[in-house]
Amino acid sequence: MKDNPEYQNQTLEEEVLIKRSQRGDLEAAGLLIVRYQDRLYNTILKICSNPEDAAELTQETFVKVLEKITDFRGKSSFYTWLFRIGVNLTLNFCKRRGRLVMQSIDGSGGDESERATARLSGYLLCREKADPVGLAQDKEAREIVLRALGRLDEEQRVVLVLRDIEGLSYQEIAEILDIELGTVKSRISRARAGLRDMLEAVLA
Amino acid sequence: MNEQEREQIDSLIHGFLDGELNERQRTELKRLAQHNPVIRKELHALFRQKELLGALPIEKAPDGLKDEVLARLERRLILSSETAVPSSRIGRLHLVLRWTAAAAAMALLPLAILGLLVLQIVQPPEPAVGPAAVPVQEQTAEFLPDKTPSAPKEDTVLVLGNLKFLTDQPIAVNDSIKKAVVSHKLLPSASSERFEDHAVYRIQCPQGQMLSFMKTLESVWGLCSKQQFVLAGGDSSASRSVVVEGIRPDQMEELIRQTSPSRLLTAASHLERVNRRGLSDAAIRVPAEETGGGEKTLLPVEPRLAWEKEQTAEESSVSGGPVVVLVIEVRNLTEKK
Repeated sequence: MKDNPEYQNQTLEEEVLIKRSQRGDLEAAGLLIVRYQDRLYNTILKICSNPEDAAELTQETFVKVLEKITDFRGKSSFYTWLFRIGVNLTLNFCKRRGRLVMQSIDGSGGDESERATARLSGYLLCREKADPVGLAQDKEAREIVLRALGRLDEEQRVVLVLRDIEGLSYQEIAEILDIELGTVKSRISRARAGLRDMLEAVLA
Repeated sequence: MNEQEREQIDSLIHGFLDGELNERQRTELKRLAQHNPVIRKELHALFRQKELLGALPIEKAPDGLKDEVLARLERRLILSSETAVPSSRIGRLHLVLRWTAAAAAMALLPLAILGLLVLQIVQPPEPAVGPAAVPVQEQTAEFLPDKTPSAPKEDTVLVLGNLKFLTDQPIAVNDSIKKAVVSHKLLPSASSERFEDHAVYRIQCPQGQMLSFMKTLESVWGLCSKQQFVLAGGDSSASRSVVVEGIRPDQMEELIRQTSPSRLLTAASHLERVNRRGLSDAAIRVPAEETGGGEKTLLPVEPRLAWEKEQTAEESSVSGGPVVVLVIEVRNLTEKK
């Protein structure tokens, strides 16, 4: 990916935006925010499970990042640095808030929910062919998956979000969470197994 | 299957899902999955789970997030720049004077002790006529807050606070301030520091001189897009900073006329409220405890009148008065190339 000319152009453009932001250029800072706001918000939302909290934490992350942007030396990518601050803020927030309110991961009941459960079950237990994108668009099915994700403990939820939803590499996750590569791998495997167990319990 | 074998298989499965296996490891996993239905089922289930998580739609950030972030950032930058002036910014002359005074005090201390001893030997002590509490009371009175208005002392130093200008014409603004400093002969008691994007001036002079200096600075207001006065909170955690947004030259003069920290705080708090609500807003009621008399109403057009009248008698002499300190900050709004 790093050999891709488009990627190189984006990186170059990002460097310019960072340098301009370091000189106090608010327009450049605004462009950096627009570039990453959806991905950061999406990740934080999947970790903290509440849209209002996610919006607030996303804003706070950008404020902190832009306040400290003169300290950014480019040792890691800007994206990794941004996510490191955002994820740590979110984890601290989750710890202060206490455990998430335990929710039932069953659907809210009704035909729609039953249909979604059946589709999910058929798909995940490999009983039928299905299009994962189409399934993920199904609101009821998505809710079941997200509730199950929300019931994982925070450490496992974070690695799963960063790896399987955000698509970060082991190395990037290790940098963001400041943990060893081996710890990243073991947490990912525990998290996947945990999520599978929860979904199987509902869908079986 | 023992625990070690289980861990190895897990490692292969998750490595495969994440595209981290080499050719040999992939062949090994394929062989295991072909011969073991449990492993095959697990591999398929986890693969589909990962696929589903990756297909979840990306939630869009709320509208206006960027604007809110930039507004927050601006607010914090303004607040953080209004901290107390660090000692490094205090003029060198001031420091030298302090060191000299400290050295003189150290030198005089043994002489004073010796003098007291000689006095006690030469002059026998008078019989006590009252409790020793009287001088102690006199001593502590200096540190009590001034509850009653008193004439300003010549040696009092009143720190007014920070006057901040945001401008895209920093050269013109800095020139005006420097000229005003020179024309009012404030050079010996003023210091300045230049930074990349702002300049800080510290002016210390008698109240009357500061008033005259401020009148000369009135033209600076026209060169700035924003003016702000900050009265920093004291050491007490209960103290808060007062920020008067959009302060006018006449309002600055009112603040300079104040004769004590408590009066300054009251005046700045009134101006903070007045300016925040806007001059077209309705009149502002000032509670009795703040005016020192009955409840008063400040007219928005001339918010200073209500409390100014109470102080005119003691403020009549503006040529001298207490020594006041004002910090002026000029922040550059232009983009650097």
